[in-house]
Amino acid sequence: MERKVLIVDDEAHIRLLIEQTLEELEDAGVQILAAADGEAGLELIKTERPQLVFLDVMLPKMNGFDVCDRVKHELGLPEVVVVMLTAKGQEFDKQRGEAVGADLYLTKPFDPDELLARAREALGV
Amino acid sequence: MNPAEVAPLHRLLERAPTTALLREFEALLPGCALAVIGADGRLVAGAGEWPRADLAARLARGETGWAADVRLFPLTFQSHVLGALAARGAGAEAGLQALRQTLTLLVAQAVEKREVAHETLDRYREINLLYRVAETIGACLDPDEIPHLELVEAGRAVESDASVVLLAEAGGALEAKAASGSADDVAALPDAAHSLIAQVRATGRPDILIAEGAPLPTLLCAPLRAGERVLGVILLGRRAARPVFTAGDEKLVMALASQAGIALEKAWLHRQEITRQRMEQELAVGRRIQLSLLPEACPVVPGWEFAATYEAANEVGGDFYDFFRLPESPQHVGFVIADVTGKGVPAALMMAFCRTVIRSEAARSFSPGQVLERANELILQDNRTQLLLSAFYGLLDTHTGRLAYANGGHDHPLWTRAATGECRTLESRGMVLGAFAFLPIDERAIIVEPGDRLVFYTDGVTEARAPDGGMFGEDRLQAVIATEAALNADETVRRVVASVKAFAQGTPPADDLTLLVIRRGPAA
Repeated sequence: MERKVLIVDDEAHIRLLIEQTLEELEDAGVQILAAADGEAGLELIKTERPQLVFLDVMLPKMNGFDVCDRVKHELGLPEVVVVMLTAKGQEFDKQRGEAVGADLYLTKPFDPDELLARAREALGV
Repeated sequence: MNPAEVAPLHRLLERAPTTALLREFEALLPGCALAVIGADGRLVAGAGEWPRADLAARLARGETGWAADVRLFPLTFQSHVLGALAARGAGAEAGLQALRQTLTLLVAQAVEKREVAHETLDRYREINLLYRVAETIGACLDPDEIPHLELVEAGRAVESDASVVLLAEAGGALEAKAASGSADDVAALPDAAHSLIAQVRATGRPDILIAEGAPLPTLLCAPLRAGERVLGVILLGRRAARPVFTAGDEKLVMALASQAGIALEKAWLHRQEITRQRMEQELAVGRRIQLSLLPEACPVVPGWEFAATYEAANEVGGDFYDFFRLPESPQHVGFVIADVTGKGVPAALMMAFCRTVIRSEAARSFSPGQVLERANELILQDNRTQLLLSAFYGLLDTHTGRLAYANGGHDHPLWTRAATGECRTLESRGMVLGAFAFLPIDERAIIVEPGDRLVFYTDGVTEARAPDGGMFGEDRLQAVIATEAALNADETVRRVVASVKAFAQGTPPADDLTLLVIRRGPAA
């Protein structure tokens, strides 16, 4: 099975930074996908079936919590690992994160080494 | 920039937009098929089969063709050949050169973007390191733990084979407080870095040293600073197999070392404050015990005057005095003046013990010498604190005026005689108590005549300091007493204390001051 990671963030530089952080996974055959809003992200999850999604909380069109909720509870894909991204200083709503089934959350600016380690864990690389 | 630092071509040119660009040019150049191939042979964009083996070697040799029908246009960044645009079939040279230039421009932009991203990720690492360090090292109030935490964080931030935190001791010499890595590497580290450490301590700035051939040929050293003061250094070493430390590594380690320096200073101050508070509390408790041991009032005996005062110094002090009547013979008044070495609770407990011992021994023996000798033995048997005391014990027969006394290393009292007006010291031999077993203590006796006066004191009187450092001294004490021969006991106490204070001119007393005066009323 081909392994895929999806990055959903409306800020282009965050997408670029996460891509660059994860690019060594490409050498291990992991495909890196990206989307700039919640609806596009959800669409890619449906069609591409990534094993791991980095999902920003504040997104245009559909916020991260709703995307996660749809993935975990409506699409019936509970095995997709969802890592929510939240800005430092902006309190992450842990109760809501738990309710929608988020597996983990990281704060931005994220620690690149931690992000990579989490991705390796989730993908088994 | 060395070739390893420039990303491979497929990381610089995205497949989809590059493929779209090639299609546009293929439409402009009929009969021409295009592809972009990385130096590693990887097909970045383009359709169909392309020869890819040996591409890097061919480009390095400056070959511009591959077989008969493939032309190669190298794609470079600065002097690095990253791959090539390959064209098969027809196609005007000028058009292909224009495409090559466009691709080269895109590559240059991508390299630049990646460099910015790389820098940003380094900043992210730094920010996260500082957040984490603030939570671990910054919250640590144990100065012994901080060097270990610093090495843990340094290990997470920057890879190394050996690391050590060295802190300056009181004399300025550095001592290793924490180390990580194999024993051999750690042992080799400070010697190899001798000059580097000295330089970092002197400048307060981090630096990297590359010493080829050494067991740890690349070293990174950063100062632990609190303000301008360098408290110590953190030192990291890498073996030859690893790359040399970079400026980014140096920045991270410096950020970490700065936090550790501030945390250390804070932890030291915290420890000092705790110690100070504990000492203050102990001194206060000791002082309360000490005060509770002093007699509430002086004896009242017709024909005699007894007066005493005790003034506590702020810090040190182990003075005490005591008056008691012998239960078997109420005409006898026993009295003690003593000074315990040390301070705080141990000194106060020693006082309480001596007071009880002397009182109980006095009840058994009319011989002051025997009483002090016995007290000495009991103190030695039970002296866990190793404290000493000087003590004068006198037994006054208020009917006859006979004063028997013994002196265990205390200041000799002064005796002013009414008949002659002379002032002399009551000499007798005896060592301080609590030091030597079976030491004989002299016992002497005098007859105190009507009008005679006896002054007993501790070194808080004679060793009181003036602002210029001069001491009050025994001569000055004698002079005060001799010139005021007619004063009663209470007045004598007040006059001596006033003289000492006038002499000290506000200099805080270094020791407790105790004064005890006995006067036999003048003959009617």
